[in-house]
Amino acid sequence: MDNKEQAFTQLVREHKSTIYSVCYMFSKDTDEINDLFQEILIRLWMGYDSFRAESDVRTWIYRVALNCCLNADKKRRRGGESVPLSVDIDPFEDTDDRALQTKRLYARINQLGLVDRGIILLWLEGLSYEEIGAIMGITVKNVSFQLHRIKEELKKSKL
Amino acid sequence: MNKEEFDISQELEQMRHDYAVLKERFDKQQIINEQLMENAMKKDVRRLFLSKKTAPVGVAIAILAVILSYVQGMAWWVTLSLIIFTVIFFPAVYWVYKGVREDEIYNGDILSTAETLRRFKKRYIAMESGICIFFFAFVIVATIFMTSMNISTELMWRRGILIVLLCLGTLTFEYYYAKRILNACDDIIGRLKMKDE
Repeated sequence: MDNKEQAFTQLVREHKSTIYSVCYMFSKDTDEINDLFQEILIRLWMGYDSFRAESDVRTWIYRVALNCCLNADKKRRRGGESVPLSVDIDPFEDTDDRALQTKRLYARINQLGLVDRGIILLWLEGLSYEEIGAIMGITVKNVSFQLHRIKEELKKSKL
Repeated sequence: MNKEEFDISQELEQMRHDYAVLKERFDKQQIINEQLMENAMKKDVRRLFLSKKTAPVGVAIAILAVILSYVQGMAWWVTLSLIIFTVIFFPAVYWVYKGVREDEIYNGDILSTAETLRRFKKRYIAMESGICIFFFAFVIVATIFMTSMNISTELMWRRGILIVLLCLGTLTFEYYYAKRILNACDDIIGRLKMKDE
């Protein structure tokens, strides 16, 4: 592995749970998580050179991950077999207390449309409105409006 | 804060808490392994767009076909059709792929990526429709010329109909596929521009 590959592997290692969480929220089963995760890794690697001129790695990773998830729905699945991820848990099948909490969150977020799912995920990550706006390509004012609308939708679905 | 507002803010706090639990669970997992990383970095990804190497090869083949048709003494309308195809098709390819780089397509923000994909797909369909119309016109012209030269037209008609059917089949499939992509892009753009407009 050369220096660039090592640096990239380290970067992915640091943000693996973020990428995995995004994949989980946009998937219906573990096979889909595997496919999405690998699609995101490939896209990150392809754009790695252009990223290095930028400053915020977290924003870049979210942009690529959300773009992949939003686009996965509208294009054919990538050909070829996926390499299995090294994961001991199955967020769709496990039944312990923590898994139930995860499933509850998944159910709430999955009531939302794809774009709304992306925005609420960024909000749950604790990103600022400026960061959310930069990732989604909208103004801070619009982020505020979108989040208010999403919260209203969550409220309606709760009733 | 009324009861309803209190409930939703409690709900959101609960979601934030659940999300923290989820991240913690995933943090403890190894997730990535050597094979996975190697695969991502070395695998030859299926190309969504024409590569930079393909376009010059295509231009060379088209020019060679024009020269060969002339040297071989083929009918003038065949050579002319090849020239027209070459002159129109390659600028069209440039127009379709202009501003779209596969290594950067998912690096932009969500709104600009959706707009780029939407523009690309619309142009791609326009180009493909143009190619199909060209072939359709070519078949008609070929039939007219062959008939005027008293060449048996039965086999040619069959081939012509086959080409037209193939064109229509390809177009139908592409329109169906593109419609899904365009609808999805429209949905993303519509949602995100809801406030700004």
